[in-house]
Amino acid sequence: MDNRFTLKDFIFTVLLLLIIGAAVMAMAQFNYVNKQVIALSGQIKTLNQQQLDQTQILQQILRHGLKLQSGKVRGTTASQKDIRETLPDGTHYVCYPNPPMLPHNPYSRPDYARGDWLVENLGENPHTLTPFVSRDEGASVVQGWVQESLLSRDPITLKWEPWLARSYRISPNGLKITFKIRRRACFSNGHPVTAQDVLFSYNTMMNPGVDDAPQRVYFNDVKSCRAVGQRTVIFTFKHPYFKSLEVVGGLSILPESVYQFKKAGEFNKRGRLLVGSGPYLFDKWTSGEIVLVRNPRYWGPLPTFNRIIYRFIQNPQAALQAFLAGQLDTDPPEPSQWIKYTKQPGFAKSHHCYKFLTPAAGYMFVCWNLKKPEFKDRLTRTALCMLVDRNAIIKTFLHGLAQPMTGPFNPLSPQNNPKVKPISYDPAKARALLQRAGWKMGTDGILQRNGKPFKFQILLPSREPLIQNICVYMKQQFAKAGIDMSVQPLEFSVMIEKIDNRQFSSYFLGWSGGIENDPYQIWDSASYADKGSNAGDFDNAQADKLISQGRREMNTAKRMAIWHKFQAIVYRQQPYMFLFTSEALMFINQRFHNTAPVGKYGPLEANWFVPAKLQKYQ
Amino acid sequence: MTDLTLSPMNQPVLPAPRPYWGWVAARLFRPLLVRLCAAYLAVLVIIALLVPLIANGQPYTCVVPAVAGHAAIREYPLFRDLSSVDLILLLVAGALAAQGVIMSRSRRLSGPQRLMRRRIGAVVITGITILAGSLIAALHSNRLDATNYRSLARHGVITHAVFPPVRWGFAEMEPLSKGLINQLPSRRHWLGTDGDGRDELSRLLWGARIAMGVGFVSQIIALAMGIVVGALTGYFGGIFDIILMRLVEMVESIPTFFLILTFVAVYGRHILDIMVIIGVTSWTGYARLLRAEFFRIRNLDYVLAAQGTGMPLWRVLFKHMLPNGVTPVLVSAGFGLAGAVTIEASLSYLGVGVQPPTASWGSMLNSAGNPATIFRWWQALGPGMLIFITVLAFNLFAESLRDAIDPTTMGRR
Repeated sequence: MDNRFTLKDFIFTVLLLLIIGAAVMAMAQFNYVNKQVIALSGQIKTLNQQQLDQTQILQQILRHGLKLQSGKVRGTTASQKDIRETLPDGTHYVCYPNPPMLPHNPYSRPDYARGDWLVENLGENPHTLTPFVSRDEGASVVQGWVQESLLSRDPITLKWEPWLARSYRISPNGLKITFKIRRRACFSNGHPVTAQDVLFSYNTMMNPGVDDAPQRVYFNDVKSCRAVGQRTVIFTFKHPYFKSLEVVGGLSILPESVYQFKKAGEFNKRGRLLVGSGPYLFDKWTSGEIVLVRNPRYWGPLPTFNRIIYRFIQNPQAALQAFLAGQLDTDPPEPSQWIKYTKQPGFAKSHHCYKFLTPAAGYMFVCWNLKKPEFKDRLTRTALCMLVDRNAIIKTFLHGLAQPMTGPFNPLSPQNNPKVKPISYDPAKARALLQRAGWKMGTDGILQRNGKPFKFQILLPSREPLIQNICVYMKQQFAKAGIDMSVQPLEFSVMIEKIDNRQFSSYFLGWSGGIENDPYQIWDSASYADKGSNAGDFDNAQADKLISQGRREMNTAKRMAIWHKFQAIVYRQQPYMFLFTSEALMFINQRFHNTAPVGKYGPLEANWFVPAKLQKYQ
Repeated sequence: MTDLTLSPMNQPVLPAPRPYWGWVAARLFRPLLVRLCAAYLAVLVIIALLVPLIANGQPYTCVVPAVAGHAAIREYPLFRDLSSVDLILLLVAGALAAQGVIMSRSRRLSGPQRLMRRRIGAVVITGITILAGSLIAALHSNRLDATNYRSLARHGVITHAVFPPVRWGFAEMEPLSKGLINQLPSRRHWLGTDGDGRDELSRLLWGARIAMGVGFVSQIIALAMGIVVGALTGYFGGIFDIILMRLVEMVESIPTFFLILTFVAVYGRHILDIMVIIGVTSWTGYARLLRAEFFRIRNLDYVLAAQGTGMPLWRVLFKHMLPNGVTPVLVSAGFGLAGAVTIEASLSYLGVGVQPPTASWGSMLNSAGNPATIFRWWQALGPGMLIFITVLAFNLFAESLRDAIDPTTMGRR
C-alpha cells in the first residue's frame, strides 16, 4: 500500500491546524470581551446608583417647594393647588401641577424603605410585548409598569386625573379635549415626553397596518389629533362620546425616537421592544420569566421595588405551591384553594389574604342564539334562567365566593340598576312559562313546539373544569323540564371561530369587566354584523335607542339613569343567562406592607413596600 | 345423545389429536393468572354490555298507585327508557349468549354435524342481530327522563319499586343546593361522589362501556383493514406489494394521538370518531404481520393445491390461508386492545375524549385532581386501578396467547 504523505494530506493538516488556531483565538477574544463587559457593567451599576441618589435629592428638593428650571433654582410661592372646575361657558378644566399621589401611599410611613423584589405569576407566557398589538392579559400587566398614558384613574373616586398631562380641558360640547403635557415627564432614555410622541402614538394606533384592530375601534370617533408646539395636544371628536376622555387619556404614550418605523410590519414584529416613561424598565424576557428593573431616571415618585419579576406558572396548584414555598410573592387562589387554606389556623396570620368584589372581574353567562327558533321568545329564555339555581351554583361550585348577576353591569358599578333583582330559581314557574310559550311535552319526554323538539347544543371552552361542572348541572336541570341540551367542549380558538361564524345555538363564556362599560359592543343590533360581539343577535329598538343616547350623554348622572333603563330592558328580554361575577381572591406574602385593597381595584402593587429588616432580595 | 365417554371432559389428556384451537386453548388457560385475566375481561365485557341494568337511577319496575279515577299502573321505566345504544348492546349480549349455547350444545355432536350446526347458528344469529340492530337504530328514539325515582319512591308517589343494584345513573347529580360534591365513600355512595355530585361507582361501571367500546370497535376496524391489506400484499407481492406497503408506511407516519387531538379540536368530541381514528391508524401492524405470514404460506403445498383446483381467490385467501396465518395477528390485536384503552383514557384525562357527562375512566381520573386543591383519592383509586388492571389483563392475555401458539415453547410449562 502506498502511504506517502501527499500534497493533499499536507493541505488538510494545515487547514485543520488553522481551524484549531482560529477556535483558540476566538475563545481568547471572547474571554477578553467578556471581562470588559463585566467591568463596564460594574461601572454602569455605580453610575446608576449615583443617578438614583441624584434623583432622590431632586425629589426632595421638589417636595420642599423648590422648582428646578433650565439650570436655575428658584423658590416657588406656596405649592400650587389642584384645580377641577367647570368654567361658566361649560368648559371642564382639570389641572394638577404635581402628579397625583396614590391614595394610601406608603412614602410617609416610618418603616417605609425602597428595595427588594416583587415576584408574581403571569400564568401564560405572553406572545408579544408590543404595545397595541399584544392581546394577552399578561402583556398589558407588564406594559402597565413600563408605559404610561396622559391620564390616570383615581382608584377611589374613579375620576380621571392628569398624569403625563399636567392639565386637560374638555370643550362644552365634549367634542374637543386639550391636553398640556408636564415639563418633568420624560422617557426612560432621557427624552422629554412631547406632543410629538402623543401624536406618534395616536398615528401608530390608527395605522391600518399595525395589528391592533380590537383596540383601534375605540378610536373610531376621534376626528383628529393635533400637536401644538412642544406640549399641547388637541383631540377632536366626530360625536360626543362619554368614553372620549378615557379612550384618548388612556392611550399608552410611546417614545417616537425608539419606536419610529417605516413599515407597519416592522412595528408589529418588535415583540421584545418595550420602552416608555413608566417607573420600571423592561430588562429581559427569558423562557421562564420577564424581568423589570427600576427606572432610575423616573420623573414621578421613585418606585419602591428594585425589580419586578413575572413567572409563567399555568397550573393553579403549582402556582400555589410556588407561593407557599416563597418562589412567588402573590397568588390569586382558586375558590377551593381559598377555602382550604384560609381555614387552616395560622395561614391567615402568616399571609395577607384578601377577598373583594371588583368591577374588573367581569361575569359569566350563557348566550342564546336568538336567530334559532327555540330561543326566539323571551318567555322561553326567562324559563331557562329560572331552571338554573344560580345561588346553588355559587354555593357549591364557587364556595360562595361570587355574586349573581342581573344584567350586563357589575353590581359594584354605578351603571348597575339596583332595582333589578336576580331571577330566582323556580322550576314550577319555568314549566308554566314554557307552556305559555307554546312548548308541549312530546311522547319521548322532550318538549316540542311546532313539531320541533327542544334540543340544542351548548359550546364551552374545554379544560375549564368549573364551566364544565356548571354545564353538566344545567344539562340535568333542563332535562328535568324536558329540554335536551348536549354539552360540547371545544378548543378556545375553535369555539371563538364558531361564535364568529354564528354556528352555535348557545355558548358559555365570560366577559371581562370595567368601571363603566359601553354596551354598544355587545348589545347594539349593529354589532351583529362583521363578526361583532353581539353574537346572539340581540335586536331591540328601544335598547338601541338607549345605547346611542347614553353614549352621547356627557353628564354622568343622566347617563347612569339611561343605563339603568337599558338594564331593565335587557333583564326583561334575557338574551343571556347572566350567571355570576366571581370575587377576586389574593394571597400576598407577609413581608409586604400596605397591601390592603384600595378602592375598587383591589390591592395596588405600587403601594406595597417591604420594611428594610424584612427585605429578601438585593 | 352420543356416548358420554367420548365427551372432551372425560377424555384422557394425553396424545389424542385435537383441533388446533382446542390445543391452543388448553395450553393458554393452564396458568391460573391467565384464567383470572380472562375471567376479569369477560366480566368487564358483560358489564359493558349490560350496564344500564346494573347501574341506573330508574327502577326496573314500579307501581303508580291508584288516584282518583285512575287504576294503579305498573310501569317499567328502566326498560322503557333504554337508549338505542343500550338496546343494540343488549342485543349483542343476547347474540353472544345464544352463540355460547349453540357451541356448548353442539359439543357432543360428531365432527361434520357439529360444524354444520355451528355454522348455521352463527349465520342465523348474526343475521338476526344485524337486522334487529338496524331496525333499532332506524326506529327507536331515545327518551329523555330525568325524574328522580328514588325520591318518588321515598315519598310514596310510586310503590313496589325494584331498583338496580347501583341506584344511580352515570349523569345523575345530588341536588346542588345540598353541596354533596366530592363526598367520601358512604353508604349512600359506595365509592363517594365526584365534583358534580355524581356517584363514582355508577360512573366506573359505565366507564367500562367506553373503554371496552373503544378497544373492541377500533381493533375490529383495524383488524379488518389490516387483514385485507396484509393478505393482498402477502399473496400477490410484486408491484401490488410495493404500492400498498408505501400506503402502510404513510399511515404509520401519522401520530394517532395528535391526529385525534387535532380532530377533536376542530370537529368536537364524538367518541365514535375517536374509535374510528384509532382503528384507521393502527391497522398497519396487522397488515405487516399477515403479509409476512402469507409470504411464507403462499408457496406451501396446500395453497398450491387449492389454487390448482381453481378455487376463487377470496376462498384461497380467507378460507385456506388466513386461518393458518392469522394467529400472530390475533396476538397483536390483544396488545392493540390494551393500547386503544390507554389512548382513550389518556385523551379523556387530557379532557378531549368523551363528551360530558359521559363517564370515562380517564376523565374521572382527571377530575380527581381538578380543580387542583386537594388530591381526592377516592376519585382516583377506582378509575386508576381499573385502567391499570384492564391494560395489564389484555397484555398478559395476549402474551400468554403468543406463548401458547409458539411451537418452540412446546413441552415447557
